[in-house]
Amino acid sequence: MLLSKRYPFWDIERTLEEMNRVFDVFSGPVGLRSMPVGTFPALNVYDAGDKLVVTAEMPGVDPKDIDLNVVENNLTISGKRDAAPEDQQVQYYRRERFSGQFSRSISLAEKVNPDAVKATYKNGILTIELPKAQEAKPRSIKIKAE
Amino acid sequence: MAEKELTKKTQADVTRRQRPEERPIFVPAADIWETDDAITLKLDMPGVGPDDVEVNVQRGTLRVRGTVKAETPETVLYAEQRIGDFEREFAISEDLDTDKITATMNAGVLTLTIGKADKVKPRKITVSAE
Repeated sequence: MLLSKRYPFWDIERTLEEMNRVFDVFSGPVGLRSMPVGTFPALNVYDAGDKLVVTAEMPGVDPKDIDLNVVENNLTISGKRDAAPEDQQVQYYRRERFSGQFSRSISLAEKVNPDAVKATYKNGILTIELPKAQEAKPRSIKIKAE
Repeated sequence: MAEKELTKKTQADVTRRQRPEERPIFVPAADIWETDDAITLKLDMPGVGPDDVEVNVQRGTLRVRGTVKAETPETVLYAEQRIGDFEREFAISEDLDTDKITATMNAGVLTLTIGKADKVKPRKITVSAE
């Protein structure tokens, strides 16, 4: 239905155009992600001085279906996403989006305070703020001159 | 003087489409399915808000563009995803009625529903007995 009857190779052309756009500006294949196919959600970890910030790309997930666990310095994100209707009446052309249960764990580089963890979900991105444990915070040591 | 003008023109001819910032453009993952009266597209565009998405239909091409406005700390410890915008194009058939497009953006997922033209919708023909 989406296919144009006049031009059967539209899809190949589109793909090539997309590839060109990707390779045009950057030398590396930035359109492709570095993690294995099926990794969901994709995670980033940032250091914001007194806290660690983890972002997870998980669009279309109901915040109620997200389960977040911090045990020592291990963070686990799990949940489920129903991407498309499972209906016999429906004819699919593409199913590229992840669907089903997911669970990912990462060990954080520093100890965090599990009681002070905050998480917000906005525009499909889960942002988790993990304040560092007192002993992991950077301290500057003053040197006394004698 | 004439030579200078000529140089200017040549440069203008080869100017490529300029982007305000050099950042990657990703192709959003899509689910596409068809029902009796419409085609639905769902595109994953995490980080794109309802005001940052643009949907265009022109000469049989549907173009979707989403801009990500992300504020993340500078020090990256680990990264699987890069911050970038989303763009994807689809060719759409003449059998779809482009006046009947609805678009909603929710939790980073863009849902587009395009109605089919009346002539291609399945019809039930009632047989009348004489």
